[in-house]
Amino acid sequence: MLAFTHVGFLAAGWGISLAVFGAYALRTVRRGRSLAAQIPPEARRWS
Amino acid sequence: MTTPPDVASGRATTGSPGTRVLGGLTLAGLALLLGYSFLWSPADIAQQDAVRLMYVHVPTSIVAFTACFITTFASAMWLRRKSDGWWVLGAASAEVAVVFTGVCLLTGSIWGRITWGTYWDWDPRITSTTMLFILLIGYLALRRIDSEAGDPAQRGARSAIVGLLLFPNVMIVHFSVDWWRSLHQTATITRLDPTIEGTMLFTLMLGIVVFSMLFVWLLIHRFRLSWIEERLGSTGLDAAIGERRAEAGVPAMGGTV
Repeated sequence: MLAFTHVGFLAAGWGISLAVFGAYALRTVRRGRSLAAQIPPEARRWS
Repeated sequence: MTTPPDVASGRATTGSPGTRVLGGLTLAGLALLLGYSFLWSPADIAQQDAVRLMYVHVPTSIVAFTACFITTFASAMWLRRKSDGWWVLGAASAEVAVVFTGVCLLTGSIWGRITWGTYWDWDPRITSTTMLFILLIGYLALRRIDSEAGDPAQRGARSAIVGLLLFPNVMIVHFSVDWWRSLHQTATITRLDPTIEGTMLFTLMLGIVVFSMLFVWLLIHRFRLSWIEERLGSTGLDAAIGERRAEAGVPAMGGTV
């Protein structure tokens, strides 16, 4: 059984970090999807 | 309303085969990092398990500083070449730097509450990092504010000059612990003989690699998104100017504005 000290602080620190990165990544990808559809495919040089 | 065919087929994205591979490797790396951070690395004698915050706090700070360097470099290159690529890279890197700097400040604040008994102190490193965070937001805000003359080049030059200030500010953050009395310790991992236990050092290095991969993945996606936004913005501006000229009965100009 794992027993950590400062569990609340660890959960907050790691939890907030992963949530922030996850939310930012999701927002960027979703916005990219919606805007990429508005330009011609030949302008999307990466796909 | 119909869905555009590219969206329906899932092809219209900022992703590419390379970013999909990098994304997968980053997720696997994050899982490994969580394992090392919470299961396989020992607790510290003095800090106990609070040391596990180091594996997210230190890597995010290093990546944030790297992102600031990229924005400063891109700003200098834009001032020299005035090309869209450098303009877009500067913005993309600055926005990702805001996220990493914000996470660094948050995790540092939580770690500070455990080790120093306070979430905030006017410590030189905390204060200079906060200044960096504000400077990054200012840089991004300046890019969105039109100059009085509506001249995009003037707007670009103004924000690029602020972009040039970012990396010198990073140097202040880095050396602040040596220049002034600070709650932060001096350099631990940049010296040739780091005073940190083997598994802890490995976990820290793994954290730096994984968060660097995350940064590259985010930067590529943000760069492509900014590229699309610039294209749509200039297309929209052309269309608006065309409409105004048509209203005024002025013949359309050749080429793009």
